[in-house]
Amino acid sequence: MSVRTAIAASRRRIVLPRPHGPAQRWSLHAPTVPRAVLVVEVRRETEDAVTLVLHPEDGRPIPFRAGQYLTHCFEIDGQAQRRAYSISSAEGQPLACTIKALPDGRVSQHVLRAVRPGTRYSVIGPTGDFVLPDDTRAPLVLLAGGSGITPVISLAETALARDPQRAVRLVYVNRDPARAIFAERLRQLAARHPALQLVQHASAGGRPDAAQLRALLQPSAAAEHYLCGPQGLMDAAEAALRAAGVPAARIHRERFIPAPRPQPRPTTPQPITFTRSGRSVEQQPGESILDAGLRAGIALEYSCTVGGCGHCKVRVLDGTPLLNEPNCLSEAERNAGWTLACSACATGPLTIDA
Amino acid sequence: MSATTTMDRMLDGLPQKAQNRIYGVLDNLRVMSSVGNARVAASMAPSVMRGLVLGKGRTGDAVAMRAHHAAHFDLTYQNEFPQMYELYRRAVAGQWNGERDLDWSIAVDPDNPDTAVMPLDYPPFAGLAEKGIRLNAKEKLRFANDLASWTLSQFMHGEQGALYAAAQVTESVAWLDGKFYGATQVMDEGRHLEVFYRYLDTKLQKVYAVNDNLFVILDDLLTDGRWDVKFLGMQIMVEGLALGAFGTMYNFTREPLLKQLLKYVIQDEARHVHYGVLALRDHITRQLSPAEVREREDWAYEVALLMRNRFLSHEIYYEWFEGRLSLKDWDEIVMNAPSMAAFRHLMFLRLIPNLEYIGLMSERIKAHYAKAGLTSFLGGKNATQLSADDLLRDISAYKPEGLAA
Repeated sequence: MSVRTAIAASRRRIVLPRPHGPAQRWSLHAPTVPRAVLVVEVRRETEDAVTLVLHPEDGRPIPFRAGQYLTHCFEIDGQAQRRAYSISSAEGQPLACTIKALPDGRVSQHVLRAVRPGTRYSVIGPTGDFVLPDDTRAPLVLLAGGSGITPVISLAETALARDPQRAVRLVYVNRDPARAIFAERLRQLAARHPALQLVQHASAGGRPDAAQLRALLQPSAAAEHYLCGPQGLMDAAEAALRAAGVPAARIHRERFIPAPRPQPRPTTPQPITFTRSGRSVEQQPGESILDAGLRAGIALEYSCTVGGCGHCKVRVLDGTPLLNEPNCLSEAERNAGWTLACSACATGPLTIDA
Repeated sequence: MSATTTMDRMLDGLPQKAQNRIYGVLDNLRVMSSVGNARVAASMAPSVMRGLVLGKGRTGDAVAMRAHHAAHFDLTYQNEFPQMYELYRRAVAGQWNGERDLDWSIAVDPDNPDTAVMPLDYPPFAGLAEKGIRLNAKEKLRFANDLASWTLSQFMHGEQGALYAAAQVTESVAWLDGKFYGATQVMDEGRHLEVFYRYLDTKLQKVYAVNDNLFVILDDLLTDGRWDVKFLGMQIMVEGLALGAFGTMYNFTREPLLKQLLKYVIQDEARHVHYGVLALRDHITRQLSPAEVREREDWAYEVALLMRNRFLSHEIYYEWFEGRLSLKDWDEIVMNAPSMAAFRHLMFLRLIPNLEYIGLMSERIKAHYAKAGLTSFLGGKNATQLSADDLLRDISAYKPEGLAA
């Protein structure tokens, strides 16, 4: 045995290294039971945006990946309301989510007005696959539009914390960059990390067109591209990237689903048959297909519960459910008979393939 | 004056690190020299070299274990084994889903004594105190949690070995029904690896390296080319060890997620042992020569002792007590702990009757087991006579002596 081999053998590894904490795979199928959280800090980011720093009430960490979101469950005026808001802190930092209030947003206005340090509510998740790539050296091109910066700042900070030399280009499109969320935090991040190219773009004169986006993003076939913002901006950016030769696999989009618009629900019990489980259930008023199935002990898959992730997708074999809009189902999925168990309810007898 | 005493005196004057180094080397030599059968010693030597001397299990990111078996490709599909087919059907029906059937939302709080992963009556605190090491309440809790992580980490490494061994066994077995069954076992072992790793990664958040002695056993059976030795090693010995270890943990833990997880795993393991027993009985009793049977008997005996005597949490020793206690004292404390007695009891309760049933318990080897105090288990129920429910009932019923109720 050589001296080197002998030294290697005598060096005893006791505990295995886990530099990034729990593996990403566990959070792809997100935890599905609400966890109680305490708001320990409320940071006012702009006139209409706040960051909530959250502490799990049970004291155990909520492991998350940069770019993921939580489903926040509030009770407002006696009614349960759920919304998905992105995590805005970097991996390894205290859990924080940033919420921009919409003028007529029932939940976001409640957060802005009523949530204070000491407020208790619950969250489900984290959920989402808008996360950093496995290749820890690939250059990153990040596009954030408005409040789309919330998961993007988490991606940028996490990537640079892991490797300060990593090439990161962050393009931030806002009507008024001076009043943008995280304006100061981003400036400080860029000052600390020369490898970060921070590009602010004012869109007061209108959304950037394909040529402008190409110039702003400076796409590269070797880089991973992340897009988060209004649908139109992401569509235009994706088209510009594809035209510049970026493979589809290197373009990642966060699907922002606007708040659901609930429709009048049935006021009497409705029968649902789950064919594969061989069970029939009476859906009670106010319940979704998911609620009714879970109450009956049927092992249905689900995650965000607000129609944003598609995890609870089930096929309707007979009957027409009422589905809250908007949601993440594509036209092709609707035509093929799929619905979302979390956001749909039976209005008459319904048969589900589950 | 015994040789041990002379050695103890020689070691006495040396610094503790040097004492441990010499004790470790001698201990490794003892493993090899204790093997009476030269063929068994020769077949195990490369794995002992890789595991104990070169420390292959604790350096680098991975280790290549070269397999030497042949895949048995069936050309006529005529080789039937109806009992195995029955087991296969049961295995298919009994598949569970580690994501759906376990409640991962349960928040595991290692500091809550009501739901302790490893309650304080498990670790060998009395033995440590006798050697002058007294831990305060906070240290005891942390130690118990580390011991839980260590134990579950070894379960996880064992499951990784079982995954590859099950795949190899599926390749090499001649019965088509064995191949059907083997495929379900591969799935089972993959799922066990998944749930143990997930528990460690997300709940305890601490994972220990593979223990050297466990590495030797896994390396040995994964690299041995003989299908029946692989079967014997995996289905009877390692699964038998697993049943003892899982059963002990199942009895001790008060944490509901882990309890549920172990219950599912134990039910699968019971089926795995049953399969091994079915496959080996005919082969050993009718097809092997007396010399070949003798070699398998000796091999099983050595592996049984290796597992009984050497699953001693050395990683925990190095993390907690190196410099405060000699490795030799630590081994003595662990070997004499009531929780270790519980583990040995549950392990041999099932192992001995199974070895007897498959024909590896001649009068010659019985004398060796008698010397090791293990013949009280002879005549017990073997895997073909036990359901998973019987097994769980036996495990729950066993209360080790010397432990608080």
